Amino acid sequence: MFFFNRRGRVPMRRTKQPETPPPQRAPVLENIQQLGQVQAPQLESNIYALPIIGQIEGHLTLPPQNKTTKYEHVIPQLVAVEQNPKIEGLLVILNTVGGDVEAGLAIAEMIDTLSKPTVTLVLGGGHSIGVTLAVAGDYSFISETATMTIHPIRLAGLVIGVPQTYEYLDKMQDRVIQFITRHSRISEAKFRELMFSTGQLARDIGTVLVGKDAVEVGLINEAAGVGRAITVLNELIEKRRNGVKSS
Amino acid sequence: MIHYAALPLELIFEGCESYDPDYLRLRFARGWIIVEPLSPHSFRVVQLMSSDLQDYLNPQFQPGRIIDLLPGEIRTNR
Repeated sequence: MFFFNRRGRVPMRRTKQPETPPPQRAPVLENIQQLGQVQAPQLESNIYALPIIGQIEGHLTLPPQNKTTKYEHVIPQLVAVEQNPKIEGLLVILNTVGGDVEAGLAIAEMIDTLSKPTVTLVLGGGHSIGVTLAVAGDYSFISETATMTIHPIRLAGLVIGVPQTYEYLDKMQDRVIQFITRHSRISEAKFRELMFSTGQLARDIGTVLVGKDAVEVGLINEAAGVGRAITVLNELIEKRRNGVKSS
Repeated sequence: MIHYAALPLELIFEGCESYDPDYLRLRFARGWIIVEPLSPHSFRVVQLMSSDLQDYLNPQFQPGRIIDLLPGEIRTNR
């Protein structure tokens, strides 16, 4: 800053001023400048909703006609949910056709091992590897018209060598079956029966379970929608709060 | 990799060989964002790499989100 006297321009002397922090831009303005977007007003909620839609994308990026949920984003998200003290419960909303076995199992294990209450809700469909995600929570829901397809794992054409391939696929399938039977009321024998049943699917062997069917075979806890899911999640949160306080 | 899905695999992997997007790495305070350029100033978020886990809960960094940036704000490192 300058001011003028008779001899010309002289730098103004700095007088000592009390230190003030640099003016802070409002966070909204910051967002607009940084990302060109206005953030919607955030309502404080103690529940974090995690939608898992389309294909579960794992080690391979899928071509653009696929809608995908990327595991490299979901996994740190779940760690952040566990770490964030403001989040007390997780609601997983599923509408997935399946996807990468390893990625699906990784996400399912993460949901399963969270210390915070988790509720899963299958809307539309939770097929193939999506079944493991549906059973991973503390309590599971399926909407009345949603379907779950249970079918064997097929060969993606990426492995050569027939006997080894079958053994490998069998091992992968066992991992999936073990996880599902450990986390739901369905028995392994019943699940295998559904998986290898014929006459239901046009192009494949397997079973389609619609809404209540999934509850009847013991895969899912209850057939209901989002309202009931939130109620149960709030109950679980309340229980955990009391448990933490009393212990 | 084993893909376990109710959709036919040929439908999922169609165009797999010709799909070769040109990704860009954008630097931000706590890490990188991998984006797919759509126009000179707008990008689709592909992947977030941040040292702060809470960034993963921010919807603005969600993969698939389209962000607009002014030329002066873009620092890249391919």
